[in-house]
Amino acid sequence: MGFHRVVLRGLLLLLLTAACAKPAGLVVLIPHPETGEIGGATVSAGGETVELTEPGHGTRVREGEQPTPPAPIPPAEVGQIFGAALAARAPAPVQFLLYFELGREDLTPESERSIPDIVQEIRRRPILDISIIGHTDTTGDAQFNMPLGMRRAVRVRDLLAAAGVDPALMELASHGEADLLVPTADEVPEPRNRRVELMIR
Amino acid sequence: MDACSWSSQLVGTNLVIALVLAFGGEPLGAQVPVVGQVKNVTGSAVVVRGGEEMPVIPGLDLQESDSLRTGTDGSLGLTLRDGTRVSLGPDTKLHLASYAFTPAENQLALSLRLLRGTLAYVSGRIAKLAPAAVTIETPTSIIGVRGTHLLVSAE
Repeated sequence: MGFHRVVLRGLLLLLLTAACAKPAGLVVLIPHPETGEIGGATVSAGGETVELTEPGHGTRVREGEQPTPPAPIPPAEVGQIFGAALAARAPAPVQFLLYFELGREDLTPESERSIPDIVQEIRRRPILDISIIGHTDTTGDAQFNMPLGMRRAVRVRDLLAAAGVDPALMELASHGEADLLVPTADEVPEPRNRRVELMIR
Repeated sequence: MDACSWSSQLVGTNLVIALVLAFGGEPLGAQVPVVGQVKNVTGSAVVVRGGEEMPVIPGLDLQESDSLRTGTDGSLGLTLRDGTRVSLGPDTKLHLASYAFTPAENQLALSLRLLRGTLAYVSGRIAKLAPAAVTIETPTSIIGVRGTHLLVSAE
């Protein structure tokens, strides 16, 4: 009686509140800001998965419900909801590959000539960090190549430091012969694998 | 010495060499690895790390398990070590749930939890090398990201 009615009313109120506050979300796929590449994404909810493959298409998801079928989201709505997040996007990271002489930490003459371009890119960015990862080909054993990769990374850091780049911005590592750009058998001299990968973020 | 203990000793030696190479001569700095860096901030934004709250400034190094929160006037942009870019709109809460970028050891993971607000994501090398390793969770859905540019909101 009275007690039950109170419980029932409480429950009803709770349900209503839950329905009103039901969280909702929106997921939109747009082209890559620099390359224009589309890519894709899956959105899973309520036991159902939808796939986004078209630029400008999106899906809406309410709590406990399945995602709506992918459909174009009006650009005005995208701008209104995501404008601030889009405007805050960090500048695109840039990657450089530098190549080395067989078994040594000396850069090829061509790679050495690209150092000023790298310094210029670094100077353009007010807030940055840099990773420098040394690699080798499969000539020599792994125990020789791990330190060789590091000596290559150190050489690049020293060249950049000599050009005025703060060494504290640069993080160094060696992958030795464990991360070949061009897969080869053991003991194969491959100039494209004798490299330093430098990423400016 | 049998082959097994010989090889395990070799692995051990290599590991020590790798560690010495990785850290020798370099300042050790923080014990926790840096996973990314904040590049820009407008308005108010805080990072919550180990229960402590501090303001976000451009250049702040980020760690796994950090949570970021922007105010009603806030936004920020960050770049993770693999080149993934994440930016947040106002009134947003994001948790950097997990991050691993060691391609040579095939350790690749990126999972973000958007608890509230808006996020723009541009994929980096992790999504290229291991698309299945990238997820964004919201209170209502789980998103698998193959790339490349995705917008996500959560109320």
